[in-house]
Formats: sequence, structure tokens, C-alpha cells
Amino acid sequence: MTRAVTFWNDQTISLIKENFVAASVPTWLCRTDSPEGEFLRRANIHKQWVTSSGYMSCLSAGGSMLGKRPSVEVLEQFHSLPDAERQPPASQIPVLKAEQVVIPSPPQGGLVLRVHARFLAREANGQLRHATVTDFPLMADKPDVQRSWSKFLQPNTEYMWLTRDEWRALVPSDPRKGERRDVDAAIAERMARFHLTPQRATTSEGGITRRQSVKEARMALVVKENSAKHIHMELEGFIHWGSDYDASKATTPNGPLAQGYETPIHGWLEYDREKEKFTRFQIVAPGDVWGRWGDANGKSMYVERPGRNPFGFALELATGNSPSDRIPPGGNGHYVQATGYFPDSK
Amino acid sequence: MQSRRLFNTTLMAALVSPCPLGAQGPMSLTAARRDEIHRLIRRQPGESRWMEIDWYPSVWEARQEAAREGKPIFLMAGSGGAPAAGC
Repeated sequence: MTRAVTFWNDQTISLIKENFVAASVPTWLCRTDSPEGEFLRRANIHKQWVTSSGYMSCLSAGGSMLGKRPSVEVLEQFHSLPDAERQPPASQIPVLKAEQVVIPSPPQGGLVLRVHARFLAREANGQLRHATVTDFPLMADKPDVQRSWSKFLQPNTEYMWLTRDEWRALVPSDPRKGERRDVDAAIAERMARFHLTPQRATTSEGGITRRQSVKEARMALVVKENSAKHIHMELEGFIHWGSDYDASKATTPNGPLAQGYETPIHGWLEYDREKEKFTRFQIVAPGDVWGRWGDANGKSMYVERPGRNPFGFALELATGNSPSDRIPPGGNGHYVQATGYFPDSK
Repeated sequence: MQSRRLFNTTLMAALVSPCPLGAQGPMSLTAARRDEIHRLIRRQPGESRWMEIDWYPSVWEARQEAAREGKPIFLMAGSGGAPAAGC
């Protein structure tokens, strides 16, 4: 399991942060006709990364395979390598030409939002709280399953991209307090199809909602404050994709109701008119999910619950201080290039 | 529409106590409540610790940085660039 909680302890975190350069990539990269694919195949990684499930691999910049998990032994092996393997000259790793790049970068001048997804639960008094393994009846009396699946109850983070033209269009040219304007439908649909999908909590596979499944995706901005320096806007909206809720069919396991998700959208945006950029872009989607959570074989997953249950998303402006902020939406460049993520893609 | 009404009713119930919304409805969530839910969903200290790592999005970039720094590369690979998007 890539997200095994026991692996990510203080010792491992320190070991990686101090001694390794980390990268997070899709497994299909090793099969691409690209310099990155060739580099990985020379290290025989394609013989390890045979499925889409999670893998760990350590290697040198020169391409020597060092092992799987980062460890002291891996470091020792690294330091025993010749200099040319540990630190090949920059001329051997030139900047890639545009046509050689496989993993897309955020759009030039675009805006990146971190999208945090989390299972929630509702107390008897209606109060929202973090979900725990005891909230999932299919895990009841299965301590091994509870231990294994607890990691998925921690928030998962991925990234949403807006183009420069898209975010600039959110800024009113002549803002007036109380003015209300619809947000481009393409942005609301992108949020519904690619980001506000609870599957993001467990896997990126199948984490895209078909365009036809989006029943409603609308957002609007209301100017709340306006000055020479700032524009403050409130975002409101509603998203519904998938089935309509039917309590009699929202049973588990293997109930007859397909999955559905409904959420109001609440946000607060602050635009700095002098710096000409957003300084706050905070959105919350405290929605409800229901119906089937099928695994690859259609069998109910352990996180499926009867009825409708809260599942929330929190979006915030990525600072760009970490290279992680440039990971493509869903962690997968294919989402951007081949699925209609942007209106001009397929 | 029935579904929508039910949803709004449910959401209203969900957002009651300790910051009751009164009759404002879900489309006028108070700023304090909105921020509270935002914090509730985001990563808390000690959670999702893989996100404490700086992950390069491409092997090539990681390779360039590793060569500059004289460090080995640690790759995590999955269907969606694990661990940033699950398995």
C-alpha cells in the first residue's frame, strides 16, 4: 500500500527530506516514448511498475537502481557509486524540449488550487466531524480492515488548474458592491467532473465523472467589498452529479443505487488590484455522497455506507513554494490531456 | 427537486450546533462557519504525512535536482501519481 500509515513516521519523513529527491509520477510514464520513459526503462523499472498500483523505487541520477523503499542501506549503496553515477553533469540531463515533455505543467500564468478531500460523519445533533473506521458498517468487527483502511480517512490532496484567461475572467473590470456574476460553466463542470468526486479519497482510478452524469454545476460570484486595493468576492454555487438520492435504494453492501454526490459551494476570494493576483481563493464543499462505491470488480468497497453521508472538499490557493504544487490534476497528466479537462482538450 | 429539498434540509441539520445557522440556509453560510468547515476538512498535524514531502511532478526534474544536490531519487508511482492522488 502506498499510503501505509506505519511507513510514514518521523524517521522515514526525515530520511527522505534530508537525503532524497522525491518524485510522484503515474506508472504509465515508464512506458512512454520519451526521455523519462527511456531513463526508467534503462533502470528496468518497467519490469517493476507492471500495474497501476503504487510502487516505490530508488535510483541514482545516472540511472542505477538502488532498491525499493528509501532506507539507510539504499543510501549506503548510493554513496558507493562512482561520482558520474551519483552526480552526472548537467549536460547529460538537459532541459527537455516541449515535445519531449510527458507530464504537463500548470498553464502559463494560470492558477493552482489545492483540493483536500475527506470523509466526514454527522453526529446525532447534526454536527460534522471527521469520519472514523467505526462509521463504516462494512468494516465492523474487522480490525485488520479497519487498520488498513484508516489511511483513507485522512484527507487526500490533489490540484485543480485554471488558465490565465479563466481566472482573469473571474475579476470584474468595473466591480460594484453587490454585483453578481455567473462563473464560466466550464469551471463549474471541471470542478464537478474532476475534483469534487469522493473517489479521490481512495484512488485516482475512476475518479472522473462523465460529462453526462453532471446534473447541475453552477457557481456565481458576488462582490462583497471593493476598494482601490482589493476586491472581495463571495462564491456560491451547487453541484450534483450521479444518481438522485433514494433512501430505499441507498443500501449496502451491493445496493441498487448508483453513486451520487450533491454539494453546495461556498467560497471567499480576495483579489489584490495592485499586484493583479488573487491572494485568497478559499472554497468549501460540505456535500453528501450516497450509493455504490464499487471497486475494480464492482464489489462494494469498505467505505460504502447506507443512506447519505457527508463528504467534504476544501480548496485553497497553492503557494507554489513546493514542487508538489505542480503535480497535475488527479496526479495524472492524462486527465489534462485526454479527458476534456480544459474546453479545448478532448 | 424533492432530492434538493431533502439535501438542503439535511445540510441545514448538519450545520447546526455549535455554530447554528438559524434561518440563513446553506447558501448564506456564515464566514466563521465556512472557515470552520474548511479547517475541519484540511489536513491536521500528523495526518497524511506523505504530504510533508516535496514531490517533483516529473522524473526528469527530480533527476536534474538529484544530480545538482548529489542525492538519490525516490520515486512513488501509481495510477495517479501516488501518493498525491491515492493508490
